[in-house]
Amino acid sequence: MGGEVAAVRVEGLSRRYGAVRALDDVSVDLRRGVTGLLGPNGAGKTTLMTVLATVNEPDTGRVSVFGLDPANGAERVEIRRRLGYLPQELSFHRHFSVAGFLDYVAILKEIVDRRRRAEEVARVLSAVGLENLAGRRVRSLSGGMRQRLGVAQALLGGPDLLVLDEPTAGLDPEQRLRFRELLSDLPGGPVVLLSTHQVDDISAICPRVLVLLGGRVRFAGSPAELAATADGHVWTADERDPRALLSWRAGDSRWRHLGQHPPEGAEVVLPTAEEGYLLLSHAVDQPATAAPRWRPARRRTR
Amino acid sequence: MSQPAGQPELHGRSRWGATASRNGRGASGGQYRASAPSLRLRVALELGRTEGKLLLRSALVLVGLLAGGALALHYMSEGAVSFWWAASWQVGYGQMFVSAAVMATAQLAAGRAQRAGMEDLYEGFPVSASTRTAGHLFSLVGVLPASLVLIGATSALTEWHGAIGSPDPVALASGALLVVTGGTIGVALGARFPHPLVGVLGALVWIVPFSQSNRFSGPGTWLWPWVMPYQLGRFPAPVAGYPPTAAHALYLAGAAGLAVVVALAWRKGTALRGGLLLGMGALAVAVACIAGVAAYRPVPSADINRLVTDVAGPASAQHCVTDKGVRYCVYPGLGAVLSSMEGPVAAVLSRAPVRPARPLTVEQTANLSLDDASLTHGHPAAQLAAWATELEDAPAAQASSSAVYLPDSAWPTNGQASATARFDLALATAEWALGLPTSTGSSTASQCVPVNQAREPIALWLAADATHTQLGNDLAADMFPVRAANSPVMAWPYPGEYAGYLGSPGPQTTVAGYLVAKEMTALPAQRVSQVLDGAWARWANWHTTDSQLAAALGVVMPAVPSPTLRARVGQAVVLPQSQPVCTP
Repeated sequence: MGGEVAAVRVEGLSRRYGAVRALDDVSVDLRRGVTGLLGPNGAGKTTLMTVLATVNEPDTGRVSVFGLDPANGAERVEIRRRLGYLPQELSFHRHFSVAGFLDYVAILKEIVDRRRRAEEVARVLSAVGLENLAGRRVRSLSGGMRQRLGVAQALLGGPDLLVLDEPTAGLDPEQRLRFRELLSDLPGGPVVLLSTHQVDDISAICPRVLVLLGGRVRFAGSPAELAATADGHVWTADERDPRALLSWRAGDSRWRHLGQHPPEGAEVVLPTAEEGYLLLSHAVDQPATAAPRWRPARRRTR
Repeated sequence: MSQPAGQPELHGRSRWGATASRNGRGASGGQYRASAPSLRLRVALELGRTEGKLLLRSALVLVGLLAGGALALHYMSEGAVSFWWAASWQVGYGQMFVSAAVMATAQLAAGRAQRAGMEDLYEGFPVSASTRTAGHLFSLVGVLPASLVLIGATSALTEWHGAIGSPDPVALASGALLVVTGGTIGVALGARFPHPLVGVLGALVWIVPFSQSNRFSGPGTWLWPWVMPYQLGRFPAPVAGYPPTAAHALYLAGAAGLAVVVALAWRKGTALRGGLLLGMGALAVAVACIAGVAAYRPVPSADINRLVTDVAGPASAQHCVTDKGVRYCVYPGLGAVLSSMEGPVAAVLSRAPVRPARPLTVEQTANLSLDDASLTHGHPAAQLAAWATELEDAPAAQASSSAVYLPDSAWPTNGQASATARFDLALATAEWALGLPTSTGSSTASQCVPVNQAREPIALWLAADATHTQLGNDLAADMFPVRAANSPVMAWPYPGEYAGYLGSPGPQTTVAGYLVAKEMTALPAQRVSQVLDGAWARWANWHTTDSQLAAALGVVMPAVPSPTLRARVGQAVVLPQSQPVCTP
């Protein structure tokens, strides 16, 4: 599939959990390369990712992954053959060794040839920097190491579709940098959907970003375009501005404000993608790419 | 892939495929196919290989193997001669522990993904849950070598201990089958109930009937995973069709098959169609039922007839040889124990200067209980009564002055038990040489007491000297009062008296006889022999007393504790049954 052709297509996807609408008529195309998925807790990110990972079925809507329909049993298996999935909360068989766990997962990915499996395990261990811990018990790993192990299992088999639900959670800055490098250098140019709360991760490695708010896609575009949505809404001042929706002290000790209407004479600055995302998250009633309309922030349940 | 009806959703999600077939999109009709059977098989085999290694390394399985080995050693340390027709089943005792351990471990393994909350991850793999279950089932092959090694080691030890007969390969293989059956049930439990205690509880339920099986006897016991027919080890020869070894093995196989079907049916996304699973389940149930019915069939009358005849009239069945004037009769196939019988008898006879005119026969006997319904069920009461009448004439219960009866299953061939049994046989031989009865019947009332008779300590000395036995019992702890011709006498149980090495014991030995015999063993054997050889007829006379013997040997007659018939101070006096004094 070419870079401009949607490898994964989602149309009119809706999913409810009782009274809670987790996904509401979501339509999105994913192309080869890394797509970032942003959204606050409860926005529906995990539900969307589980649907794409074929472990959750929508109430309505259609999903196509490489032209395959996950509702069809045989095609679903074919999708799974091309899938690498890291759930948000990944547990482990704690008494397995690191290499043993990956070997086990490799079997579950139908890699039955032992030599190839051993090579594959060695490859992904090296990719996530755990090659020296192959013999260690999983239970003795730190949280960050386990997260890398989770990423490693997702990489097994060289998947065409990588669904990574908050893979950088628990990683220290150096590991995050290494992870970014890893995703950027993935061979074969797979489709990667990366969910995270770290907007700078998205800015660094994702040519495309989706913002999911209240179960709906509110933004789809590049990180620069996301930043641009906050153009004219970010200003700095020496004092805290009570009219701002969000205020925080920047590194130069000055106050940085995010709001709908900068005051007269305010020093308006170029926004970041994070500020664009924050602005969007306060305008959930607006269409995805429309100009944000301000309203007080509210707590969401999902 | 279709999902079995009733499959619970995990985490409140519906799964792909759960509704696909309902909306008509579940059928595979495109260019893609679910995993080919050969690939599924290879995946299941690889999973089985990995899980098998984990199973073998499990501490639980290791404990099961150790417990099984310890149990086998325990049974062997009992010392009695083993008959392969019983020992083959006994080997299964150890496998029951292994089986329970494998069941608990397999349940833990099969429920691991659910317990660890990894179902979400596993759902995203192309390998279906049923293939994973198949992998767990294949992993049971991994414990087979350990089970077979335990069976082999136990069998080798049994053979090394001089087991009689030939091992029954079907009964031995059933031990391994038991392990596999336990494992399949464990996988089935784990597929549905991931909680770690479920496997432990299952193992307990599995093993409890086994540990309690001695409480019951009846054909229904064959429906339990493993039972040990309690009197099988006493039979003088194997009985065709008892126990129903092949039927029981088939029954276990049916149970294992049913557990496989249940394990696969309890997993969602099984690649096997419901009809195929139903067919496999029906086949497994049919096999188990047919095997159960076959095991329930009564043992043919002809076989029990032969068994009763062998027990009641062993002469017709036994093989007899005469050695140095003594006739030895053993059941066919049990000739290997002959030399261990001849030794003590010959040693005593070589020390006795004169032999009585009456012959001496050392004869094996066998016990048979018709109360064992697992053996006699299905036969009319009249037939049972006829067999019971026939058994009343069995020699084991008869008194004799020229025959020593040795129960076939009680004769030990190794260890301390063997030394004690040899002493008992030597004592019976010495008693025969001195005119005492060799067998006093099964009733205490018929057991005579050689009160103040010199031939008693002489018999004890002859047996001790012939078998190099130390008469070093703790007298104060062992002695007990008896009534001999209504007079109280302190009795002393000779070594092995209660072990049942003799089918019917000789006279009740006394404390006085023991004390004089102890004094005799302290003297040089040559000196004692000189005294005895010079006046054998006098010493064999029942009127010659312990004091006269002590005087002739030049030893002081030991003080004999005063007899009392009061069992305990402050309690009612319980008079023991009066026993006769031994006479010529």
